[in-house]
Formats: sequence, C-alpha cells, structure tokens
Amino acid sequence: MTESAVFAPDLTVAEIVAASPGLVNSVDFMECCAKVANGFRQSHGVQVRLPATSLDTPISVIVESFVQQASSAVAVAQ
Amino acid sequence: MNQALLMAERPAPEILPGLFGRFSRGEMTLADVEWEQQRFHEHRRWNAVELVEAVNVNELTEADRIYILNFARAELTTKPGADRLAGLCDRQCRKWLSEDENVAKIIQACGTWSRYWNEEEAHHEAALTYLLRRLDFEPVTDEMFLEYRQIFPDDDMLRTLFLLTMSEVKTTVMYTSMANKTRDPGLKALFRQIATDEAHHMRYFNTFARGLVDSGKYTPKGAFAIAHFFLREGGEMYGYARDTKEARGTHVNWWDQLDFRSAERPDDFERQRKLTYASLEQSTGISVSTPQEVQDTWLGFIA
Repeated sequence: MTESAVFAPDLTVAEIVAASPGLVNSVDFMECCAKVANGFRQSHGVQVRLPATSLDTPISVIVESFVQQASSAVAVAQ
Repeated sequence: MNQALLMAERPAPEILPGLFGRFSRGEMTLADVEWEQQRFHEHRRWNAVELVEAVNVNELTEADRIYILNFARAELTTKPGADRLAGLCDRQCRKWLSEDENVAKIIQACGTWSRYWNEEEAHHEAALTYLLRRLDFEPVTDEMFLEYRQIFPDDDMLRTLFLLTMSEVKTTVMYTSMANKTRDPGLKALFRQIATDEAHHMRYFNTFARGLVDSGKYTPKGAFAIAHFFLREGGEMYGYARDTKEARGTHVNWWDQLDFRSAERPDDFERQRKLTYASLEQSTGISVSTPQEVQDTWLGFIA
C-alpha cells in the first residue's frame, strides 16, 4: 500500500488490515508498529511504548502517539 | 506374556512431548500418535449428565448463577474454534507435504487431535447450557447461539496454536478460580473437571507449537507476538475489563463478552501471566517472566 492510500483518508487499523495484501490481521499491524519502534531504538536510541489500539483507531492517532513519545524522549535526553 | 502383565507394562497415557523428534527419527507413525491421543482422551472422559445432576440448583448463589451464565455463553465459541482448527490443519498439512514431511505430520497430528478437543469442549458447553436452563435465569437465545458459532478467520499456524493456548490459559485459571469460590460441591466438581480439561488442552497446543518450532520452519516470533498481544497494557488478556470492546463482525472472542456484575471476578491475572510464561517456555524453549521480557523477546525476532 502507498503512503497516500493509508494516510490521506486516515484509515483505521481495521481498514488498513482489510486493504493490505500483506496483513492477515491486527497482529501483523502490531508487528508493523514494532518495526517502527525498533527503528527508533536503533537509529536514535529512543524507546517507544507500543500502543494497544482498537480496530477503529485512525492511523493519525497512532502516528501522533509515536511522535509524542519520541519527542518526549529526545527532550529528556537533551 | 499374559494379559495382566501386558496391562501392567502399558505406560500411563500422556500428552506426547517431542513430536518433531519422534517423527523425524522415525520413532512413531501418525497412527501411533493417534492411539496415544485416544488413550489420553479415554482416561480423562467424564459423564456430563452425572456431574450436572449433582449440582443442587436450589442452593446456588447469585454469583454461581452469573458464572454459569457467562461460561455457558463462552463455551459456544469452542466448536467454531475446533472446526476452524480442523480445516486450517488440513490446508496447512497439504501445503507442507511437498516442503517438509515432518511439519506436515505434526500439523496432521494436531488436526487429528482436534476431534477430541471438539468432543471434550462439547461436554463443557452442553453441561453448562443445560445447567443454565435448569436455573430459570437468563437463557442462551438462539440469536446468541448463532452469533457465537461464527467461524474464526485463518491465521499463521503457530500464531493460531498460541492464540488457542491463551484461550485455554484463561479458561484454566477462571474455572479454577470459580471452583474455589462456589460452595456447592456439585458445581465445584464440575468447574474443577472443566479446568482440568482446559489445562490438558493448553498442554496439547503447546506440544504442537513446540513441534513446529523444533522443526526450524517456524521461529518463536509468532508465539511471542500472540503473547504480547494478550499481555500488553490494554491487551486481550484483560478482555471484558477493558474500556472499549472490539466490534469485529466476523467472530466472537468470548473473553470480550464476559459480564460478572455483582459476582467476584475470577480473573486472577497474575496466575494467567504465569501460565502464559510457562506456555511460552513449553512452546519455544525460551524462558521469560515479565510482560516486558515478552515484548523485548518478540522485538528481537523482528528485523
């Protein structure tokens, strides 16, 4: 799926799982979030808590959660 | 050798560990494994009619009635669970036959065993729905019966097995807890019997999962993903106690639908967590003891 296909309509977790050919269910979506968290940790040394999101959560809320956590961690480090 | 001596030398029925090794070394055939499953199934059989009739329905408390209501409903989801497992195992077995015969055999052994699981769960469902009807309490309506019978969607084989492990972890703990809370000897015996069955099912799922992991064709990642999915803050383990319930539309997760009202909650989450760690070790050989360790181990498997 392209970025614009996911972020422009602000798809929910359920909609992303349904539209993606690579995701079977929300466990796969959780793994995608984990990859992002691993990336934060490896590239910036920032620990991000993985959010437990319901199926009707829009992607914007999840992204915002990651951004806020990363910003807070960076601020603390500085 | 006389018949008495033969019977004396017959080993006690057990849930066979080390399935991958037994198949890959040629020590057992699928027919051998099936016979061990049959022996184990027979040694733990019980009579639902007798146990239900031993419950003194006139002496049950409000809490007892609420427990029976909740689990009469919850048990309705085990038949679609077992039906789904049988179908998934057949499809996965065919897929693996051309790639790894031993993996195909482990999955076939699981599919074969699913009929015993289905039958044993039928005891639980029939006993509790019948008991509920004797209570003159809230019934299981046909509408609910049909809704709870929806078949679960397919998933990866190892993840499916560990999800079923988690369901059995929850039922083992909750039936044990309810058995300890009720004062009626008949209901106590029924709940204890069901808890024992659920613990056996949990061990079976762990054994099949371990076979897949031992084959090297499945990494432990799938088991840890499901464990994290349950143990994380706001995760599936906390089911009905969460602020929001998932509207899935495809199937019913029984743990989301519980409603204990005035009755003491039988969750014992600490016990559920410990059984989860034990199951992870049985399924993967990896020892963990906190939700954070589960998450860290899972993240370690993700590139």
